[in-house]
Amino acid sequence: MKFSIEQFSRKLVRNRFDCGSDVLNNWLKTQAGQQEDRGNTRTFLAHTYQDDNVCGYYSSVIAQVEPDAASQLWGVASRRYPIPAVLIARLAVDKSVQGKGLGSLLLSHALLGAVAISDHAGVEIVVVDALNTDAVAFYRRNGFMSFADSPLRLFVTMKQIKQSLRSL
Amino acid sequence: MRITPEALGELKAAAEVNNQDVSSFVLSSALSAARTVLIEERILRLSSQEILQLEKVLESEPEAIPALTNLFRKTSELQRSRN
Repeated sequence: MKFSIEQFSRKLVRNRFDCGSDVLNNWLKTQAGQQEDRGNTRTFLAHTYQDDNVCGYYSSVIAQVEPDAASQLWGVASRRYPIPAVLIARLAVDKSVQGKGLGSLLLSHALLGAVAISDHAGVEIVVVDALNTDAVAFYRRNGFMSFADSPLRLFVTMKQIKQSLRSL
Repeated sequence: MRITPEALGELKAAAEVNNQDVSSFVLSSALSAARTVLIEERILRLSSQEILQLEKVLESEPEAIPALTNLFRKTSELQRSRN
């Protein structure tokens, strides 16, 4: 099956999208456009070459990582914070095309986008928020590491991404 | 919060998979769902343990992650086969 991944556009049909999660379905249908208009979130949409129905998407934002109140108090941090990050906040694939590699394509697209941002503005890590344990397994299979106290949030460093690209 | 024994059983099983107790599983899952709704959360705050974990990775000599290299290889082949 052939997929095309494009920047958010209202020309693509979003209202039939169903990845099995209401949270992710509704966000795409009701929030993605507004956030895109404000320019504070970028969403990329996937569709097959056969039609204009969205069959997958991801959205990402610029974020920053810093110690929480307790770790500031304990003074465990030994480098300069905040650390600039790209957060992949959502990534979802329609039920009709699950298991065809679209999730991997979207993740790869998002990571290459983060590499481009880091070349222009400096990004040290990429963080993803997984919706559930299946999603966690997907990110772990692709080299991400869960944060010790929040297993649904995972990361990979920009240096690891670049090194992985070099060894292609 | 009231919960049926069946739902509690499911939560326990899922928490076990994640090596968490039920309440931390419920909290982290609810937080994750909340984050997914409110993408505005741009400041990601880490616990002491997470700070140490992250700094250890950032400070070490960067190495390729085979799973990531595979992902890039697999997806670029997929893209090529389409052209």
